[in-house]
Amino acid sequence: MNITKTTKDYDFVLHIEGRIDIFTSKSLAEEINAATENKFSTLIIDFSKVDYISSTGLRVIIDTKKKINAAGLKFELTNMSAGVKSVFDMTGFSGILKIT
Amino acid sequence: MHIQRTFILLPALTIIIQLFFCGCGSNKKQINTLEDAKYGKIGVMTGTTGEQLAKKKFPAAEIKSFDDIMDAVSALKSGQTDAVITAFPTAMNVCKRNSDLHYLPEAVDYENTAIAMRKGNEKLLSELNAFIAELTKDGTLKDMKRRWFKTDLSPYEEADIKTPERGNALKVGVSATREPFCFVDANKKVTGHDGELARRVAARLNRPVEFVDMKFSALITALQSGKIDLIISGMTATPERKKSVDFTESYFLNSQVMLVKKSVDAEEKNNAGNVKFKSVNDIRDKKIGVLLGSVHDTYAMNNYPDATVMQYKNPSELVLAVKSGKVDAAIYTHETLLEILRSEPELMQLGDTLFTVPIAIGFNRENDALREKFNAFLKEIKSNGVFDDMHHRWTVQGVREMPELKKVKTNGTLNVGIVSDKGLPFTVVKDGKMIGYDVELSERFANYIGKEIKFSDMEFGSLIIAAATNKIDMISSTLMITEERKKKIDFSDPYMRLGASVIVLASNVEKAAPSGLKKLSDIADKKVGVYAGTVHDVYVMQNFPKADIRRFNNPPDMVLSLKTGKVDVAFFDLYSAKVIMKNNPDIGLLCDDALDLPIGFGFSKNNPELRKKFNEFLKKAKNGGLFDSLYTKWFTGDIEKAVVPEFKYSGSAGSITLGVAVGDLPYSSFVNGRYAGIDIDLITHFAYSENLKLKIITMEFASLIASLAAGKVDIIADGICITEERAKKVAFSDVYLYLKTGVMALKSSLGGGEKAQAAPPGTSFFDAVAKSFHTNIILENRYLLIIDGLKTTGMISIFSIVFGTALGSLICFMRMSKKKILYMPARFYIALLRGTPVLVVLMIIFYVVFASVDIDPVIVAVIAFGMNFAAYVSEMFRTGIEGVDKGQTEAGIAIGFSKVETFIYIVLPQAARRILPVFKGEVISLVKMTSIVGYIAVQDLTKASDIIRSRTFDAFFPLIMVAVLYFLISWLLLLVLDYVERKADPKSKAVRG
Amino acid sequence: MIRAEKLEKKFGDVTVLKEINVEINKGEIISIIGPSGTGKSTFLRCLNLLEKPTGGKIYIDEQDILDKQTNVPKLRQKMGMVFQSFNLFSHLTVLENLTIGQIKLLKRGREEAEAKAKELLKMVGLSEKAYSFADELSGGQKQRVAIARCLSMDPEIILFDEPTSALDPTMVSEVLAVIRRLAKEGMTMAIVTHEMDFARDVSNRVFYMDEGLIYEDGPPEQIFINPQKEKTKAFIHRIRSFNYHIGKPDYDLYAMNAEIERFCEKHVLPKNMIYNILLITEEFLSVYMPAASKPDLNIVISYSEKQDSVEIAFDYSGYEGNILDAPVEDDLGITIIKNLSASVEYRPEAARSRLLMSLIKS
Repeated sequence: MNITKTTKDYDFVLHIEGRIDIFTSKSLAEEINAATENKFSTLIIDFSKVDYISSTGLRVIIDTKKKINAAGLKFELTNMSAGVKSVFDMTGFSGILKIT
Repeated sequence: MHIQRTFILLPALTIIIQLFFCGCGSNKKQINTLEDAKYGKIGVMTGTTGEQLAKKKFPAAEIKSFDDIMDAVSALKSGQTDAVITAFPTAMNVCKRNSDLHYLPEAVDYENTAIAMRKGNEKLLSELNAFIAELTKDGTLKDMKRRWFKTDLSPYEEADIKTPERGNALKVGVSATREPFCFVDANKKVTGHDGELARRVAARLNRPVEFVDMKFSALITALQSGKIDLIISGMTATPERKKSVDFTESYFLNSQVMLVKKSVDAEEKNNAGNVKFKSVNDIRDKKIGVLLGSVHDTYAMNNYPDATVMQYKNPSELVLAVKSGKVDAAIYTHETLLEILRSEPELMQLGDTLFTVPIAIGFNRENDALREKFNAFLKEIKSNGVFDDMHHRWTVQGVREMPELKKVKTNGTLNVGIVSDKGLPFTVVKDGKMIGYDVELSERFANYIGKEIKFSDMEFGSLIIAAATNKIDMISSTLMITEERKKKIDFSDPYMRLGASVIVLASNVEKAAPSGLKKLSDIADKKVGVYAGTVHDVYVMQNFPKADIRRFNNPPDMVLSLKTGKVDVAFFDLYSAKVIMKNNPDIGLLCDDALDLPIGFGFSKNNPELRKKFNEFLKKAKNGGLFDSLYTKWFTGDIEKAVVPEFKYSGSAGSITLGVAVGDLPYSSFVNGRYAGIDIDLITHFAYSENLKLKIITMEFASLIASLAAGKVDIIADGICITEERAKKVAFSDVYLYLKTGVMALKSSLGGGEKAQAAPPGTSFFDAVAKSFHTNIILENRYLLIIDGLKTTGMISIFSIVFGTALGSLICFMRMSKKKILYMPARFYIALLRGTPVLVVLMIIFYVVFASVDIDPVIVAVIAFGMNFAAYVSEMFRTGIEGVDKGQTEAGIAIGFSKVETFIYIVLPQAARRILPVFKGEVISLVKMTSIVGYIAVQDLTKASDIIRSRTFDAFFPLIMVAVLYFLISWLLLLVLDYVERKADPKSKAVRG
Repeated sequence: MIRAEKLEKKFGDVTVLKEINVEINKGEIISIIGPSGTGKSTFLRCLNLLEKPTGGKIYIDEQDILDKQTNVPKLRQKMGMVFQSFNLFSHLTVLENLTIGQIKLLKRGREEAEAKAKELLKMVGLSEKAYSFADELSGGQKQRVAIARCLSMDPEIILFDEPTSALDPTMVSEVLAVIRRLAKEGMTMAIVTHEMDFARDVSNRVFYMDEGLIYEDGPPEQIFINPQKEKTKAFIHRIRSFNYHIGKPDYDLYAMNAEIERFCEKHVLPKNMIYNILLITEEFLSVYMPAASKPDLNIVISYSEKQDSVEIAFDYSGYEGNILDAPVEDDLGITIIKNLSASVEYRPEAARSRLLMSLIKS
């Protein structure tokens, strides 16, 4: 899994490439942690190149949301493929996350 | 300044150098007489008498000494010397092999050849002298001379002298590079005249012989130092040498001659243009055709190593080869060639007869009884005149009819191997029957031993093996006796000597002018000069009745007439002819084999005593070497320098008068104020030995006999031929020589040059074909031969096919079996038969398998071809069968057919359809293959064509005809097979609807 | 009628027929089905001894055909065989194909034989081809003639070795029609075939051959609709499966994933299906691995071509009970699993447990 960062105005974007699964979720969590050190108003996670996510990944996302919201910042998930989205759907996460 | 000088010097230097080399190079001196060599460069061998001689006789010449004769010859050839002086036999040999060299007829000197030994050994000397005398007396030396000093290149006849293995070896010093005295043969054995002599000496002394080969110049020293005991190496007993060593009596009278290069023009003419023959030697590097396995074959191989020898199966092919240019020359039996030349205007004989070889009948080695019987038979017919009559009829007269032979009771058969297309006068097929000298001889012999004769006609090359394997009882086909053949078969006593000659295309012989006199028969309508009353006179009258005979009384008149064209040809004895030609370069020899006549001295019928005395003298002279030395003196040496010795003796025993017709050497002539010639010499010696005073009177030849009869003279001589006619009036001495006749003509009227006769204008192609058809088929009922041949070919083909197919099926079955014991032999059989040429199989079966069995060769042919056919057929069948889809077999089995039924009803019909086309091809192949049965004496279609060709010498027609016939046979068989194929094709025979 | 006892056939070292014990009775119409290379044709060909068994016995009408004394060709006359490659006698006309056996083996007269032949041709609908040759007929026509040829011998049983396998689909029906007719007329037949529908229709007994045996033998309803045995089922449903075993705590997820992906791609499963399979597997593992004392898991992913459905079976030990009921921190994984599966079945088997999930078709 590859993670690249870009910033645009006050948005901090994490572009994730590859699978988010039981092995890669840990490094995703670390990256997100590191990202939160930065100054931004919105943390965006770009799923355009993510082809797989499992429950472990979902957990990381939920934890991240809690943290971000606690900091009063915004959290967005964008560019999900249908398969990835359906996982969010079937677990009900689609309702609690901002998915664009 | 410097530059200018160089510019001048350089070219000047170049020119000078060129001139220098020019001068050196173009030093070619053309030597035609001994005189010409006076200021030239003469090569000699170190330490030889030649060397001494050269220095003595040519004081002004530059003498170059070589260690070896071949070095001297090389120097001569390359132009470094102008001439070489060497012993006559050596010179002769060199010339045999180097056509660009020849030796001058005038000898430089004569000399005695003897054995050298250390001084002081009287015992040995006298022993050796006695031995030499013995050898001379019993004719051994004479025979050795004959065998070793040959003018042609035929192989040497060696004598087998056994020397002891153990003992004190007799060391004989030789310089083994002087053929034919002493040289080393192919097996590295020292051989030659002296080699043989040395062995004889050693055998006589009962010691083993050891040859020590060294340079000639070292021999004397070696002898003196004891390294060798004797020198037997063609060494001349000179006074100088006699100072250091002792010599025995002479065992050979020799002469020194001068070797020179032939004239350049002749050489250049030789090289220019296609193939131009001037002499027989010119064929030595060309393509020579011979009959396979014949003596000519061996001869050509041995004597013309640079030539390409092409071997042919039968004479008509050989002739065709010459005519079509496939070979440049052909060597064949002289007598047969004469016959051929009669009908082939394009060909002519080149040069003289090469050699003669005795011919005899061949027998199986175990069959001594039959051979003895034949020898006895031969003796009988020689004594009762039948032999001469046969010879006369077939060879001289050229009769073409077999005589009627008495019928005798026969018990058993005599199987005679013969070659039916050998050619006249020996064997040919006429009107379906074999005729010829050999045929008559065999039939007479069969009568003699009371057996029915059966001829086995085969290829010449098969005769020997057929006799050796007892397939035939004897070979009657002008079989020449050779050592090689003696290893396999035994020969009867020889009954004839056959010559071997060379024929070439007349257009290839260097022409002198048109309108040629090419052969003896050409004089039939010309003006012929002869001596009046001589045998030549009679001969010409009898044999050429249409010739215009001009008679002369003396040679000079005749020669003049020849030169001025008053006569076209003139008959001389050969040696005189040669002398005349030497002195008259514009006269040439037409032929030298017209007549061979014995000559003797004539004595009065009233004086038998004298004659008897002379005969005894003659005998002694011949045995004791006197005759030989005289012969050498007058015939091979420079006869114009030879002189009759003057003996001082009392002459008290009486006197005799010799009548001679002087005029021609070497018999009798008047030279430099003295009588000369061998006749004179002999009589002089005779008179001396009888202590009789000798008076010589000269007269015309025609008067000699009359004078004798009248008692005016006691002896007459001059190369008088012994004839029946004369014998009535004259008591002849024993024959002392044979006179060869030379028929001479102006060179300008000799030689070929006529183009091959083109068809006369207006002859269309169809006319030619019609004529060929007539000659080859109609004439002499030749078509019968063809029909017989056709029957044989057809029969062999059909039976072979049937047998082969049956055997092939069996082999196929075995091959396809799963059992090793069946398929292994089958595979082996197939590989063996497919890998061996049919001809070899045929011959093995005939000559090996059925070696001593009397089996009809046609059966053998069927077996051999059948076996070969079977091998191919079996594989064909196998392919066909395996090509049928397995499913067909399965369906058959499934329906309930047994394996065999399935094969027969289902597989076989389908396989057959596949096989037939290939089978047809193999059948046709087989038909054509049968053409080789000639090798086992079966007369098939091909042999029939050979026979016809041997009579008509027509190449084109018989071959085409036979090809057509083979095609017809194949085509007919094809039709049959096509029919079978059609019947086998279910689609064609199915009734539709 | 035909009895095989411990029939064995080896080709070199390869055992094609391990042990066949079977009886075929008169009137039975037997279809022989199974995967390729399992010895169906071999078995059939042993019956008329086109192949020679390497072990066991075969009795035709109580006659031991392997006995040397037996006149096998005679016995064969009672058994007809129809081949995949027709094997009509190419050098004979159609009529002659039908008469040759009659005349030469049954010793009938030509007229009688030809009459019978013509009748049979009529029956198979090829009267007008009586004088044609095999290479003039189409495949279907050839096979029909082949059947007529068998009938000309009045056999007691006809063996069909994949009679339609070499035929163009358009010609298959004409041949099957003939066979159907024969069945109606009560001919005893043994048919090796791949035509499942036909086999189901026409036969009254089915052999499913596998593993060198008659793996399952039963009426068509059983075999085709309710196959009892695993392999039969797999065959019938044309099930393809993928096995993966995990026996230790650390396993290579990615390696397994790769194999699963390969399997799926082989069967051209859609991408989302692959995703789902991988997801379910991963979710299961994330629950199982921590929970099991000693991991011993067989994952079997089965794809039914016939039904175009995927079933994942987790066969495990090391945890008592249904792993999905295991206490977990959150039920994310289980939710996902349940959401992706059309059905989840839990089956305890001996010391092991089995979870079967059939995936939702998309």
